[in-house]
Amino acid sequence: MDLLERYLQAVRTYLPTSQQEDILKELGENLRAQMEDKETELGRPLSEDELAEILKKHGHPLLVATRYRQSRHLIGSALFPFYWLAMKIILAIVGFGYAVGVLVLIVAGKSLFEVLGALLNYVGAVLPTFAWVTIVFAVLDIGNNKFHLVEKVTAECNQKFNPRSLPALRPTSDSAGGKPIPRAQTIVEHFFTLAFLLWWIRVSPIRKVALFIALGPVGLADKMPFQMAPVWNTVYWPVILLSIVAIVRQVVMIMHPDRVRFYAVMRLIADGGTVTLLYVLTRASELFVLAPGITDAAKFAEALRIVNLVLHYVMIFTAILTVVECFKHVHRLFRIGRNPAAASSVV
Amino acid sequence: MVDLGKLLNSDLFENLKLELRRGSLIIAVLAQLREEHYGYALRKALADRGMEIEESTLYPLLRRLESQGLLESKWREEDKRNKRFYRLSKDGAHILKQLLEEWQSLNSSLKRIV
Repeated sequence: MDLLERYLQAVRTYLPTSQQEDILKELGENLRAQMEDKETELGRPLSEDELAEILKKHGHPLLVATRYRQSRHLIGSALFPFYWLAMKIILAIVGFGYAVGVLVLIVAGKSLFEVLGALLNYVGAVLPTFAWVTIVFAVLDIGNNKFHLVEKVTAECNQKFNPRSLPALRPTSDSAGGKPIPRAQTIVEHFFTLAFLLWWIRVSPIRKVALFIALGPVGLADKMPFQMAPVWNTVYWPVILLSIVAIVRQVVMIMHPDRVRFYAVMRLIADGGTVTLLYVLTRASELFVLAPGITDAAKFAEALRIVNLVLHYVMIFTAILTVVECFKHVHRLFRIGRNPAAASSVV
Repeated sequence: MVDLGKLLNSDLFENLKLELRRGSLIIAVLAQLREEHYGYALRKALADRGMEIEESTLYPLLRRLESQGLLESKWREEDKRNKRFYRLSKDGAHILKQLLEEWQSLNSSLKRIV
């Protein structure tokens, strides 16, 4: 029986402390009864091999002990959908907070590194946010296991549920032109449009960010050898107008991602305007000129020529892409017009 | 060489069999415990009636059913040994009656379908 005691000792290791004695007493008695039963059948005491065979058949101590434990989880199936939804909302709120913070830093004239640092801080904030939301829901789950509040609330909701209150049918996936625009995509676009507008309406460090992206480290020099040519003044107000059109579209699309006809019309207007502005800009002889006060103009002349040439072709290329986009929007509108299911859910 | 398809099918079958047996086992245990039994004796009684069940499954199941109020237990001496005897509780008897009705209804439906 030494083997049995060793077996029970091994099972004990994996059992919850509060139940160890009770479970082992009962398990020991059952195993002893089984062994005695076998001895009666054979008419002799069991050999160690036969004892080992019975214990082996009973199972590994870890597995045996596991079956006495109730299934454990951090967040149960009743709460998990709410946990996941809360996680997405909270991470979005934190992300929105950081986005606003970045815009404030830009407006306040903070340096490029401070702005980039704030963006990186968001990545650092995601992990603790994730951990805290999980901890809170784990605690809620413990409470729910006791009081079953979620089950009660969902049962009540289920009783009050009226299928007639369901939202209108969304465009189906087989009508590519009528697919809703993902909110996340619109929110990111909205952030960049706002940043662009801030850059456009006032000289601020975001101008440096753009120059850094366009020109590399040269863009960060205290005194730039180039400045924007007068042609940009011509497009100043139209650019603001197009940005406002984009912002209006984005706000509407964040609230109603399925208004794809509205989206297509607004994009068509904006892209049409963009192509017109790009046409005006490509007609200009130069997009950048030497900054006043640059004494050794000859030194920068070649660099200026290259910058203007590259930008000229970039704008032509962008204009071609935008025209293609315009055709896509026209096609989208055409498809929505032909698809009654898609048309029924859009403005 | 191992036939992966066969292996997956056999795993799938085992899982489905397990699911199918789970509810039936509870009915069998509850029904058998209309008479008082201790763990090992219950296993033997079930096996004698064709319902084989592993000890490592049965013993924790008994404790769970007791914690749910479907069984009652008491320690009692038998053959000079102290054993824990289980018996169907009042609530357990009520639930068993409902489960049996449900099982019979399912069974007759299945017979008409299969």
